[in-house]
Amino acid sequence: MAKETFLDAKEHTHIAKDGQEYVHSHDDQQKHRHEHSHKNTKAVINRLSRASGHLESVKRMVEDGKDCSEVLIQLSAVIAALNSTGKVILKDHMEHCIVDAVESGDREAIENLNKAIDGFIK
Amino acid sequence: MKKIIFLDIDGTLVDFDSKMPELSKKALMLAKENGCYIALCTGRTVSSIYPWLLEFPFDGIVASAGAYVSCGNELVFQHIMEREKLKKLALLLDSYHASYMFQGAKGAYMNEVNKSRLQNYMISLGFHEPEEKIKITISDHPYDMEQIESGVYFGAKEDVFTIQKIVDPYFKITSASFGPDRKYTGEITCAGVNKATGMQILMEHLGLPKESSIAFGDGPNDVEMLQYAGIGVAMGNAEEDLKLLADMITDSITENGIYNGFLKLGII
Repeated sequence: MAKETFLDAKEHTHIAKDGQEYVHSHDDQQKHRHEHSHKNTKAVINRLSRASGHLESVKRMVEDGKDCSEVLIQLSAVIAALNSTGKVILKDHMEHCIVDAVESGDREAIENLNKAIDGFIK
Repeated sequence: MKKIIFLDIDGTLVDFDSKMPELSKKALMLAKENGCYIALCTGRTVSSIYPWLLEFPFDGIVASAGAYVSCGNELVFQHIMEREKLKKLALLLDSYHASYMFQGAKGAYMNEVNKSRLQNYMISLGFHEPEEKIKITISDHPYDMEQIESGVYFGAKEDVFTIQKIVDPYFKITSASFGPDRKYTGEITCAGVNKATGMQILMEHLGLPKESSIAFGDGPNDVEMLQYAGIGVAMGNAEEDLKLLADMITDSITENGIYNGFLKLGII
């Protein structure tokens, strides 16, 4: 994860993994908060609630002494559900933030997306 | 509480002449109209389910005996077998003279020798156009193909119990759901993956409690499905073992077991 040091509200430094420092500034900080409404927020919350319910069932399976192989399969299904949720969030982000960022030439938003993709797709 | 009905295909929804009773179709449509979720729960892979059956708007599909779960257009879960383990299994089945097929969402694969044995076997069972029944891709190394979820074999020189003892415990061998020599014909799945696995995943995805499920089945791979369901229903044509663990027994497939079962449960 890159470390960020804010020098002031406008100019700041990013330190990449390899130690390379990047100093840049933004003319308008507001532009980079991306506080749009995401159309899939409700779907994301639903998916998270269900994945969390599923995880509770896995916990009960462990408490009930269910077979390890069955527990592991259900756990992998929870992980699959979380990955699908991540995809929904990323797609939403692409639609609402990145398109705007590309149009307005916002490099930081694109860098942040790249970081998000690196973190999400292993 | 919204209900979800899980239906096995072979011997439950569709008979062994590949036909579905008219009253079963009617039962499905009425149940759907009444607000029930309807899902398939089969040992078949999704690529080998009859296309005409998929014209019905199923809310979910559990295929490959739990290794594949879809909901609408979304693939919710897929469990793929490990290639190295499959390779060892293939060698072992060869040494027991068993002909095997490995299969998944992308297709079914056999080597040439095994495929010609399968054709003869199907003809011996009374199927006259085996080519049309199963679409099989010829491959010298079926274990090397992509996305293998399950397998089947027939003609082993030992019964399924013996085969289970000698294979890697990663695999589970269940008697096949058809054929006169079913003891020597097995379905291959992974330990921990069965129809109940897929049911649980689909219900968690839909946010439904376990109690809301009703399942209909008739074969050896329906044991876990009937045990897991809130109400497990065995068809009249089911084996005695399955009937013993069912909550209810309905008529056989030829006597409109699905329609009558739905009526008795107040689904329609």
